Amino acid sequence: MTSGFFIGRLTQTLLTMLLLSVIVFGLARLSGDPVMLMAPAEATAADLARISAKLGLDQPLLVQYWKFLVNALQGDLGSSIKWDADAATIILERFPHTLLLAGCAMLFGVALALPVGIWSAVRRDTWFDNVGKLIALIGQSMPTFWFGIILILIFALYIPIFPTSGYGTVWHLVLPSVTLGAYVAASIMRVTRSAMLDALEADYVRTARSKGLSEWRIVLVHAFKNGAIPILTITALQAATILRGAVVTETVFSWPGVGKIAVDAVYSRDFPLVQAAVLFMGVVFLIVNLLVDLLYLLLDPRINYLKR
Amino acid sequence: MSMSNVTLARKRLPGAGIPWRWLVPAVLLAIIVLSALLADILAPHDPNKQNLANFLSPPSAEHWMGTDALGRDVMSRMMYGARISLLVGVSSVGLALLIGVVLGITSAMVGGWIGEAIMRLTDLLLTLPPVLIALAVAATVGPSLPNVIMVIALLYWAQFARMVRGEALSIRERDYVQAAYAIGCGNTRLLWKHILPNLVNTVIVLATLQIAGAILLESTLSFLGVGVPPPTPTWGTMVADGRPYVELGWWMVTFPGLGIMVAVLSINLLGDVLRDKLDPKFVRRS
Repeated sequence: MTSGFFIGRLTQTLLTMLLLSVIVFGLARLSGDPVMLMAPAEATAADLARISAKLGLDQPLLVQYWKFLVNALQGDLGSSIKWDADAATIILERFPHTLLLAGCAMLFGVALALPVGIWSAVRRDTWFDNVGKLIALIGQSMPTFWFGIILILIFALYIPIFPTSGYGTVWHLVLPSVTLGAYVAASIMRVTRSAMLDALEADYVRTARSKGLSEWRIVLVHAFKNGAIPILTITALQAATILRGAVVTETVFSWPGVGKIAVDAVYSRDFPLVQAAVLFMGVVFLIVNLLVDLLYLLLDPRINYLKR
Repeated sequence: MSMSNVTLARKRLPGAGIPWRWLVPAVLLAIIVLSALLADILAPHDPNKQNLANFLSPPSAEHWMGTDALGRDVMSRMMYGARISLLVGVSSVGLALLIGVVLGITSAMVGGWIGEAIMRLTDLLLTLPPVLIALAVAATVGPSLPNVIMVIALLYWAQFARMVRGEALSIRERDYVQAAYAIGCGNTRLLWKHILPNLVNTVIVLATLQIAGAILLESTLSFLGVGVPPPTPTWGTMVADGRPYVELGWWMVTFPGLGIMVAVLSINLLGDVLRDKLDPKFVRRS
């Protein structure tokens, strides 16, 4: 049964990836002549013809798409105009930076959200809970790019503790991680709070209380263990959200990741690189989502996907 | 026990009967909407009038929110910027709603490979980073107001389609719909009389929350320079313009960002209230 679900979900992911490739391929054709899009503004007519022949644009669309797909599957995502290098190589070089930032942001988000969420549930309807709720709401409504700049203003310019932007030391990592982590902390906090509220109302908690166990033990061992599944689920789901927010955060902090390279490629009209970045990030997202779904299944055997 | 204590304590507070939960966000939103609509009358200055003598002057009686690097009045630009945010938010979500409801219904009623294809497309749109897709599209078709609205609509219809399909499938299985079908009610009548009316509440709630998301996305795109192009004032562009001068003039960045936050927050809060009122299936915790 599980393997049936696995195969179904895998097929679905592969189909979605195929669809992604069609869209990315189609995007370049949206504007009319892709050669104009890919060529630098100062290109001559001879240059254009050369690029056109090189890219095989004189062939029928289906043939072009097939070539694009086969190349992509072999790891060839075209080459960047600006850097005059293989797009896949450029992206793979930057990807660890994005992963590092995403990892630290997630760590910060969880470290902030768990204690606050748990304490809000324990002290339900007190000022702490209400302030926590309000901050979570504000966190979800705040534009990431703006929060990043405000952090730079306060903690890099007014009180110069951290560097304003760039990459290199551990200090460079702090402000971008906080910016990106705060964004996911809000959702994790809300779910932690409600999962803990559910768990704290359960019968086994009453039993534990009647046995005279300490409140700490009840909250952290008995209730938290049972509330852990929704909390883990939302955390896993936030992995995709974090990668999504990375595009903006990397731009604000000049963090040399895949998101920054994609935005820069848009500015320098380096279309093959934009295309490659979108394709790459898209595939990463789809894989993350697939893994999250499989994780559910491992965490909670009660979930039956076949019924959906 | 502790619950009743809290309720009692609340009752004694002055103003406890006032519905703060929707009143506060409604008032905030009303201020934003009014200042957008009446910007021509209310704005103290011309939003695009440059005056280099006023380079980054701090908030004062003349310029309540200060001026930007070109000497333009930040508050007037905020008011005109609200227009763009609201216009993009409402029209892109309206368009998304239309596409989403039609495709969602199609997917549920027609089914087969067409239904499946629509659902795979929603999978794709819901997983991909919207900013990245919007960047790629903007790089292709060029940034402009209609393009921003189109891109957001094309990214946002998926949630409507998902939800409408799910609801339609479950409504279709209900006894009264089955009964209507059994006595010879055709598909079209079934759709208009039994399925669509049942979807209205959920769609309204989702649309409200989506508008907040669309405003946030528009500001992000404008910030990245692929949204509504200058000189049109938008909150996102204003933050981007202020960024190089942030150390010299905090007001240039702070106020537009606060504008985005307050707009998104109040729409989200109103959406929550609407959800409690219209969507009884969704039980809010505490």
